[in-house]
Amino acid sequence: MSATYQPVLWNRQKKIYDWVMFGLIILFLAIFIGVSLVLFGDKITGETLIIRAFGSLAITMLHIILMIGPLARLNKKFLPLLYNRRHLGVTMFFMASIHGVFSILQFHSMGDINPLVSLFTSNVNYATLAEFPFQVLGFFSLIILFLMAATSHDFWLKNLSPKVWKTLHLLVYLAYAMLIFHVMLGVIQLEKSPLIVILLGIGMLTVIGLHLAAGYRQKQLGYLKEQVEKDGFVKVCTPDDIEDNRAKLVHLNGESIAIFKYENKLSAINNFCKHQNGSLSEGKFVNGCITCPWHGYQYLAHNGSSPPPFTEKVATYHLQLIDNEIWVNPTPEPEGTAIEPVLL
Amino acid sequence: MKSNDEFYIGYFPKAPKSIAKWIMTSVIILVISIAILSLLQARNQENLQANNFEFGKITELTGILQTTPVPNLVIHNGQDINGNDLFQSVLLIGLGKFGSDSLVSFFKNKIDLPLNQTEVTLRGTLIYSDGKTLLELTEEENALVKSVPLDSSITISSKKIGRIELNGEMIDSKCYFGVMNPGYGKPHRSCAIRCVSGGIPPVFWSTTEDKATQYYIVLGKNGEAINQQVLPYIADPICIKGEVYQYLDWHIIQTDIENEITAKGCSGF
Repeated sequence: MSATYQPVLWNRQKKIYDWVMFGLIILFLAIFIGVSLVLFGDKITGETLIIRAFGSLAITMLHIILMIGPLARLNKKFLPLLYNRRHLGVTMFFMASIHGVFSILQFHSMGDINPLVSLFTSNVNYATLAEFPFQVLGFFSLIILFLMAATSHDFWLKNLSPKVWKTLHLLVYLAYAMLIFHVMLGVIQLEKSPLIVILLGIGMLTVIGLHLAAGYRQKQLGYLKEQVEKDGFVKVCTPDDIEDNRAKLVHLNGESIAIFKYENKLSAINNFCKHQNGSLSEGKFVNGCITCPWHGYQYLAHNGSSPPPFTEKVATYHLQLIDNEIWVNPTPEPEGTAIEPVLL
Repeated sequence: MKSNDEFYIGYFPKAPKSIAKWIMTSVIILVISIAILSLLQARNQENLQANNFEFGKITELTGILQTTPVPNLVIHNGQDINGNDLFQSVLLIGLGKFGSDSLVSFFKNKIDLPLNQTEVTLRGTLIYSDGKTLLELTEEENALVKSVPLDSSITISSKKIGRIELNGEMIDSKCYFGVMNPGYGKPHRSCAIRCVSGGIPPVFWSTTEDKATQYYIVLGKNGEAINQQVLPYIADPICIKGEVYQYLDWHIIQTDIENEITAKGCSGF
């Protein structure tokens, strides 16, 4: 969390994260290149080795990246993997770029037409699935990954607006789908062993399964079994149902509301962090502020505003405590509106 | 309800102990998983041919320059057991994804005598595998080192063998025999199309029942280059029919592009 923009706000956790990430990348490449050289010796050219090693690495990294989000929703202990995920994403883009650039140089350059024109016009079997020009799918995936990597900084998040930014970054699923077909319609058609198909299948099922499980859990969390309403307020739970310094999530009238219990008080704010839509109800009241579990963005509980000099604001909601039951009015007040907390 | 104090904040110096322990375990699992995944993916790669492209090494070859059936240099390759001279045809290829037709025309104009009365020395990068040799004219117009008149002219001709009908794949000769490995199949299709489009002779390869591979330089029914016409068939399984000729150590297949190449397998296969 920063009031100004810097390329990277380095801290100890980020440094550890990046060192581990680069260590794993070196491990992957060392094994892949080492095994390939043992198997093939000088029969494999440097370009082919680079294309294969970095392509395999990039798609392996993409699977890990896509698993982190749902894993962190299913178990908060995975949140440290989410914290610096953008470094993983940007690095994956660079790994994929090495694969892409070497492929274009190897397969399309030094010919009778421009390499990029060649990419789209050499194999023109667009009408058939089995013969489809798989390299085009890889190219468009790389464009999406580039857009994501280029806009991964908070400067773009702020200037594009969180909604546009989030929508843009959801394109990773389109890139992922295209990359699956890029592999299935490309290198797999050359290999006789079913291993890559099996690995890809396991990877896809894991990614899809984790997303479905996380989505189901998220849905279960905030829905009331029965909705008792009185004077615009809806009965939610008792204060004892909420841990100290933690929140209860409730979905009402299309609103996701996080009701926090802290310092013997209750306050309700919109559930979605202004940074990357992190679920504030999974956060904690720390040092006088509601703290987002994803990247530590903070909001004052009574008015949903980040403490100065920060400027993020979320909507707030009115609460009532009647006969030891918490009631919430799901009509949001404008973002940053102060509402007197309910005293316990 | 008591508070659950365990909460991770990335910009705090340290993660809570139980979370740090969990992440440490996850990292160990990741290290093992990454090692296994990398090993499996590397181990799974199909075996490669023993192709050779002597990149960075220039070799000089001396022989008779020929423009047909495709640009090639006929070199002396020892003698058979009866003492007869043996000759080998080295296909000439341009730099990058180009054939050598224009270069060979340039050399032909530079040499005063007819080609079959001249011995030339060419410099380039050797490409070879499976008994076939090609020379990339890496230095392009400077590839012609010298030309020396011969005492007598030499005639090199093709011998007609007969008609064939074969299943196989058409590829570009430069990549297949050395520059790429593998230089066949769908992942290489675009590259092969560019190479053939640029004038590199297309070669049809087919495997016999006893697993031997046979190679045929593909030409039109009158022996003309049909590089542009064969592009839709490159790197696909095809059936080809045509008249086969023997040209030194190469086979040539002359085919009617309109009627004798089909994307489906040959009947009876």
